[in-house]
Amino acid sequence: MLAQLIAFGVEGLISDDVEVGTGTVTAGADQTAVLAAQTASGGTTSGLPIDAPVVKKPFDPSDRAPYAIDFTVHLADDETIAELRRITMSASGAAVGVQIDTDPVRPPLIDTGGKKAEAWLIVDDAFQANAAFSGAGIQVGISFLIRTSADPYREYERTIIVVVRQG
Amino acid sequence: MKATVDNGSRRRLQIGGVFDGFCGLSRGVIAFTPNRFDKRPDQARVALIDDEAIRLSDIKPDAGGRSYTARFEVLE
Repeated sequence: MLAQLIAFGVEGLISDDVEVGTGTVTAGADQTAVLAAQTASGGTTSGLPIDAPVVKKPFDPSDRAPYAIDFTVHLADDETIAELRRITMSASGAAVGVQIDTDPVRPPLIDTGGKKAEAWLIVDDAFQANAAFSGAGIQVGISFLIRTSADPYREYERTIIVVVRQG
Repeated sequence: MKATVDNGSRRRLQIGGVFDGFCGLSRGVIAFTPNRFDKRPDQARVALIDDEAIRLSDIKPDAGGRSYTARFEVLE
C-alpha cells in the first residue's frame, strides 16, 4: 500500500476532510443497512466484502440522497458512535463517478441515538448516462470507519452496498 | 469533528487483451469493465496504470459479471 501511495501520490487521491454533523439521520429504513452479527469467512465473491448488507432502495444516478448504516449489533447498550473517522467509496463507484457528497449542506452525520451514521451520495454529471447504470446497474460499496465511546475506544469499519441503476 | 471522505480516483489502465481506458481506484483496488476480449480477465497478471507496471491479483467479477475488481502492487 505504501508503495502505491508513493507511486501515485497522495495528491492523486480524491480525499477531503469534511465536518461531521450530529442529528437525526434522514435516510429512511429502505436506505439504511442494518449490520448483522458476522461469522468468520474467508475471501469475497467480488471486490466487496462478502457479508456487506445491500441497502434495499437503489440509487438513481440523478438522485442526491442519504444512505445510512446501523452499527447497533457491534455496540454495547451504553456505547455509541463517538467519531465518524473515514468514509470510503469503492473502486467500482470511483470508476463511474459515484461519490460521497462533500457539500457542507449535506454533511456526514452521526445519529442522535449514537448507533447510526449517514452519508449522502451523488453521481458526477459527466457519468449520468453511463452504460453501467442500465439494466441491473452496479453495486458500489461505501465503507464507514467509526470510533466508539467505549474506554478504551473500539474502532469498526464496515461496508454497505448500494445498487446504482437507472430508476 | 471531521471525517476523511475518500472518493477514490480514476486512472488510466491498460491490461493487454482485456482493457484500455480509465478504471476506478480505491485503497489498493481497481475496478474496470473489460473492453478488449482477447483474453479472460482473470488470466491477466500484469498491467500498466498511469504507465507504471503493476502486478494484478485477486481478480474477481462483480455481482453482475460485467465489471471486475483486482488488487495490485507496483512492480519496482
